[in-house]
Amino acid sequence: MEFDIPRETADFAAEVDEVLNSPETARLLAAVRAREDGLDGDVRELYRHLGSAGILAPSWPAEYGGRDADFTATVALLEKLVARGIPQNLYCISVLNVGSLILASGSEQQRKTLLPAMAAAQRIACILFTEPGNGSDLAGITTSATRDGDGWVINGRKTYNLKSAYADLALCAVRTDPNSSQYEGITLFLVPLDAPGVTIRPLPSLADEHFNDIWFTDVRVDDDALFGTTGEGWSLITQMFAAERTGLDYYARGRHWLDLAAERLTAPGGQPSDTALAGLARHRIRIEASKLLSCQVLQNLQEGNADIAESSFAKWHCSETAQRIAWWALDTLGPGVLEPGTDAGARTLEAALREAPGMTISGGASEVMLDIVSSARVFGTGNGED
Amino acid sequence: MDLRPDPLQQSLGKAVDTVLTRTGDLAAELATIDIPTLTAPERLGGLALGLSADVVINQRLGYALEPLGSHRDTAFALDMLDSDGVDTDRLSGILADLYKGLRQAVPAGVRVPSEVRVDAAGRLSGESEPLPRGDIALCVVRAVHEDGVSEWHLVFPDAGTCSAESFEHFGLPAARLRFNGAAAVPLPVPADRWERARAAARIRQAALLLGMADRIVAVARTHVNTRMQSGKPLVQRQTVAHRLALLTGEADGWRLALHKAAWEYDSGRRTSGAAILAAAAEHAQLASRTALQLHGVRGMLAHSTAATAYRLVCAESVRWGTPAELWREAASAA
Repeated sequence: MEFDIPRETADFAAEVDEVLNSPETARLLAAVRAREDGLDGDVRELYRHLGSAGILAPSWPAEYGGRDADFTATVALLEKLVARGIPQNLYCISVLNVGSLILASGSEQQRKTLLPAMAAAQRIACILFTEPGNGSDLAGITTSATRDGDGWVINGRKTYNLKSAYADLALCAVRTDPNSSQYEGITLFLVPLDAPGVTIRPLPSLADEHFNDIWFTDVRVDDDALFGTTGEGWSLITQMFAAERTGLDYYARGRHWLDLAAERLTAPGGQPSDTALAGLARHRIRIEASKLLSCQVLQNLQEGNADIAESSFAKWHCSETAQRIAWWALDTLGPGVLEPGTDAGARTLEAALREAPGMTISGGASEVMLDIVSSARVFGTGNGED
Repeated sequence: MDLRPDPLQQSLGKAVDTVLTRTGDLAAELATIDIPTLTAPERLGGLALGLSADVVINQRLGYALEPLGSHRDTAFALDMLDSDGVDTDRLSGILADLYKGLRQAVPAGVRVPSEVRVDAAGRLSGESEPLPRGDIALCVVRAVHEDGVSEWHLVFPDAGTCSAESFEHFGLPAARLRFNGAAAVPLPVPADRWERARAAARIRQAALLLGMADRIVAVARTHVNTRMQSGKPLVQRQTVAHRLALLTGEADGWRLALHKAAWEYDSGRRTSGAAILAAAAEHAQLASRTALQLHGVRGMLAHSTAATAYRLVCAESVRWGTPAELWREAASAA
C-alpha cells in the first residue's frame, strides 16, 4: 500500500488555501454566518466565488469543469472547506452526490450542460427521495409522475430534505408505473425547483440547517428532465448510494471537531486528565481509520469498482466516529461547550453537539448501513471456516 | 495513495498461506521461503523489506491462529542489534541458525518491568517474561543494576548459567528463561533505537492480532449461518448479524490504519506504535469475546476454535502492554 499524497494534490491544496484565505472568501463567509435569510445562511454566492476559482470539482474531467485530479484532491478540498468553517453540505449534495451521478450515468447532453455549471456553482442541485411515509425504505415512494403528451406531470410530497431552498434543481425519485414492482416502477427526474407547482416550506431542526417540506402540485416537466430511463430509478439510486456514502464529509467534520476539542483540552494552563488524553488518542486513530475507509471507497469509485457494502460501512464508520467525537467533546470539556460565547471554535463545537445525532440518521441510517454490510459480508458461510 | 495491497504484499501473503498448510515445524517451514531473512536488517544479512512486508506475514500467522512468537521476538532482537557497534562476525553462526528457523532470539525484561538483575561483575540473575518455547540462541536483556538503573545486555545462553523452563501460559505453551550468574555483554542501545525497535514490535503484534480477529469472525460467521435456533439460522437475528457486520467493517478500518503505521515506520517517521496496537488489541478482544458468546456453550468446549482463539487473544493482546497502558502512552503523542 502507498499512503503518499501526489504532488499535484499538494499543489492543489496550496491553491485551495490561497482561495480560502482570501479577503473575499472571508467577506462572503461572514455574510453566510450572519444568516440574514433567517434559514441556514445562503452560501451560494460564496460557492460561486469558490467555483470561479475552479476548485470545487477537482476529480471531474476537465471538459466538464474539473481538473482530472485523483480522489486525494477531493479529500484535501473537503478537509480544508470544513477547517475553514465553510458550510459543506450543499456542496456535497450538489457536486459530490448529484454531480457525480450525472457524470457516471447522465446523458452526454446532461453532462455538457449541467456539470460545468455545477462545478462553478452557477447551478446547484439537491436530492428529493425521502417522503413522509418513506425514509430509509425508498421502495415505498408514492410521489408520482404521469405521462402527459410529450412531458410528465409530478404530484406528491417530499420531506426532511436539506438545502432544497437553495437549489436550482432537484434529483427527484418518483413512481412512474404503479402497476409494476416496488423497485421497477421508480424513475428519476431532474426537476427545476422554480417550476410552477413547486412549494418549499422550511422545518426548523435541532441542527443549524433547516429541513424542508416540498410539495409538487401538477408540476409539469419535459422529457429532458428524465434522468436515465423510465423504471431505471432504483438501480440509479443504488449506484448513487455507493458513490454518496463515502463518509468523506462526516470524516472531515469529525476531524475538525476533534482538532478543536484537542486545542481546548491541551491549551496552556490546562491540566487534562490521563483519561481525557487517552480518549483523545483513541479518537485520533479512529478518525484516521475513518479517513482511510473513505479514501478506499473513493479510490474504488475512481477505478469503477463501486461496492455498496464498502460504501455503507464507510458511511457508518465516519458518521458514528464524528458523532462520538462531538459527544466526547461535551463529556471532556464540560458545560462551556453549551455556552460558547464569541469564540468561533467553541461555537462550532456547540453546533456539532446539535448536529451529531442526525449524522447517523441522514444519508442512510446506521442500522440500514449495517443491514447492507450484513447481507454482503455476514450472511452465507463465506470460506466455510468452523 | 493506493490502498490496495501491492504485488509484493499479495505474493507474500499467498506464500505464507501455502507454508501454513505444511505439517513440519512452522519456523523451519517459513525459512524455506526465506521469511526470517526478508525483513531482517541489511547489516545483519537480511533483505530489510520492512514492516510493510512483515505485517502481512504476521496477519497471515494470526489468521492461522499460529502466533509463532519466535518470529516477532527474533525480529525485535535483530532490530536492537542493528548497529555498527555490534560484532557481526561473532553473530554470523547464530544468524544463520535464526534465518533457517532452527533457533530463536528473545527479549528479557523488555515487555514488563525487568526482573533481571546485573551484579558488579556484569553477571545476570533473575527470570524473563513468558517467551515462546524453542532453542534460544541469544537474548537481549534489560537488566537492572543495584542502583536501579537499567541497561541493555546481550546474552548467549549456556546450559550452566541459563535454563529455560517450560510452562503453560493461560493454557498455551510458553517458556521462561532463568539467568543464574549468566555472562552478559553490555549492549549500547540509544533511546531512539530502543523506541524504534519497540514501535516495530508493536506494529507486528497489532498485525498478528488483527489476523486473529479476522479468523475468529470468519469462524463465528460460519457458525451463525449454520446453527439453527427456533427454526432459523442465528444470523437471521439482527442482533447477531449486526455484531459481526460491525467487527468485519471495523477490521477493514484497523487494517488500513495498520498498513499506514507500517508505511510510516518504513518511511522513517517517528511513531510509538502504541495507538495501533491498543486499537488492534481491543478489536481482537471484542472479536474473540463476541465469537464465544455467539457460539454458545459449544464455544466453551476446551478445544473449540473459539476457545483456542480466546486464549490466544488474551495472551497476545497484553504482551506489549495492556490497552489501557498503551492508550496512556499514545495520549502523550496525541
